[in-house]
Amino acid sequence: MSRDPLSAVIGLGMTELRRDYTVASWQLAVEAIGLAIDDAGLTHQDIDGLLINKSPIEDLSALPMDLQDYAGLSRLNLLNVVEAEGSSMVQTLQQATMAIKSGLAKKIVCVFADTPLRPDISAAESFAIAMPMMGQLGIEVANGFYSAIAAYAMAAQRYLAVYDRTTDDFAAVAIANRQWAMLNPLAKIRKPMTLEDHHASPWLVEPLRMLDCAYPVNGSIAVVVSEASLAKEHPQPAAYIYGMGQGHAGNINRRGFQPEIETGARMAGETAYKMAGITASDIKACEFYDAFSISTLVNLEMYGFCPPGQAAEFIAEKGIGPGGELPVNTGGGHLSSYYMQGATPVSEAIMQLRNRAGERQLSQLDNMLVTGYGGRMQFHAALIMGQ
Amino acid sequence: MEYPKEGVIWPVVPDVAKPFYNGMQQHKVLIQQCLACQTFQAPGRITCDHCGNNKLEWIEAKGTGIIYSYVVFHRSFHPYYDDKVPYTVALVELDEGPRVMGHIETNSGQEYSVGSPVRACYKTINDKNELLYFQVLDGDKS
Ligand SMILES: [Zn+2]
Repeated sequence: MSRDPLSAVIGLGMTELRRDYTVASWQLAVEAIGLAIDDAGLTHQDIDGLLINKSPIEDLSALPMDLQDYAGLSRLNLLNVVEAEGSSMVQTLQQATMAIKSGLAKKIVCVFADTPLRPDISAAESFAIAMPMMGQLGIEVANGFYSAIAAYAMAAQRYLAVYDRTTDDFAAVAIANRQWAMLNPLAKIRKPMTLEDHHASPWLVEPLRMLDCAYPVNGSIAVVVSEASLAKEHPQPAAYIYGMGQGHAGNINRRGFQPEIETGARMAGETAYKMAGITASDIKACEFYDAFSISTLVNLEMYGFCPPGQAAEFIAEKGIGPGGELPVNTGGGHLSSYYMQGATPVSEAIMQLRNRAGERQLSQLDNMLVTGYGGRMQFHAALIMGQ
Repeated sequence: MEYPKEGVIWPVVPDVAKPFYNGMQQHKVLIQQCLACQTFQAPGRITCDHCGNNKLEWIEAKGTGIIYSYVVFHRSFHPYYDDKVPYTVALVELDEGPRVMGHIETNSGQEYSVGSPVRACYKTINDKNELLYFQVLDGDKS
């Protein structure tokens, strides 16, 4: 394509992704930062920006501004902890791109790290926070309304009722993810999954089963974002950013509004497509933030691939798994590969755009949609990336 | 986040939500209404989410509505609930429009789904706090 990219990802660093605790998040982040800088063929002295994506379930002290010093970065023109919940990682790439376009910085590291699995606490407990559904009212804890699963189950039940669907729609997403995961050596769950397996999976918060939920790991992922014009000087093929958008449609909690299933992703997509000069039909593959199976259905609808309520029919007709017309979450997504929040879709997109995705490698990747969302599918950020 | 292990956790109520909690104590569902555009608001706001006006008035809702969506907890995330699963928590759309959260309870044999009519009820928590929940009503789904 002849259009000019906005920026380029020239480095990717990933620590080992583990199901047990080794070291703290900031230590993992330092390791991933070093790996990303090496991968870009740069040294620490070349880095002039650091954007930090702290996990929403960790304290600010887990990944503080001082990460600069822990990582040995002393020439920064840009330093920020970006807090936009699950949309943060995509937002760090957006902020890096804006900083590059404005001249504020030239070589910017964006990093995520998290350690939900601890010696003294399980991942389930780490994520068992009461989700703020009711604004300032704070009534969730009094009702025992714990866990992100519950918030997404609320969206899932609404989805099933409004569109007259069944939980087999969720299974279609989980099974496609698993088929991709079977082709991804980095994926954590790689045994085949059938519809019967999904039916047999225990309810956690109905209508969501265990197989509808993300698979937590400890680890860190970092990228280096650079000026697009200089991207060819680096050892790895660049993954270019052509468009970006955000959508935050608010949580209007009264008749006439369904924020659970009609999300700001629609706005994020429209802005990103327009910036890249494309429409949804130009997208060759999607890497969605997909912490729960329901969110892939809603994302397919809100990002304009099918009308609301028809995502499962779209999946059945077109296919989102290996060989499908619209490959989605090609590493296995959060459900079957690894839950590194917004860094999961970003890392898989970069591996695909570099043609380093092995057995699951896609072709003709001129436009990939890479997304993040936070809260209860409230806060959305999207990138259009390409080769 | 660490929660106390004993009893139901009662929230630290912010000033903007205190009328709602005081209302529950008197077995009333209080919501808000915008004095400029009359839009009913879910409780605990300081501006109207339709017109942005900051003059909101607390009013008593009828206490009836329909299930907007609900979830069934099969897994306990807090010791208090270990022997209470499965339990159902719903977002109830009140007749006036705003949605509030509460447990769903049924008489034996009663079924419910999204759209089922419900009525506000109250139970005493921790020997002192009245908590809103919803009882499923007989009759057609709306
Ligand atoms: Zn108003």
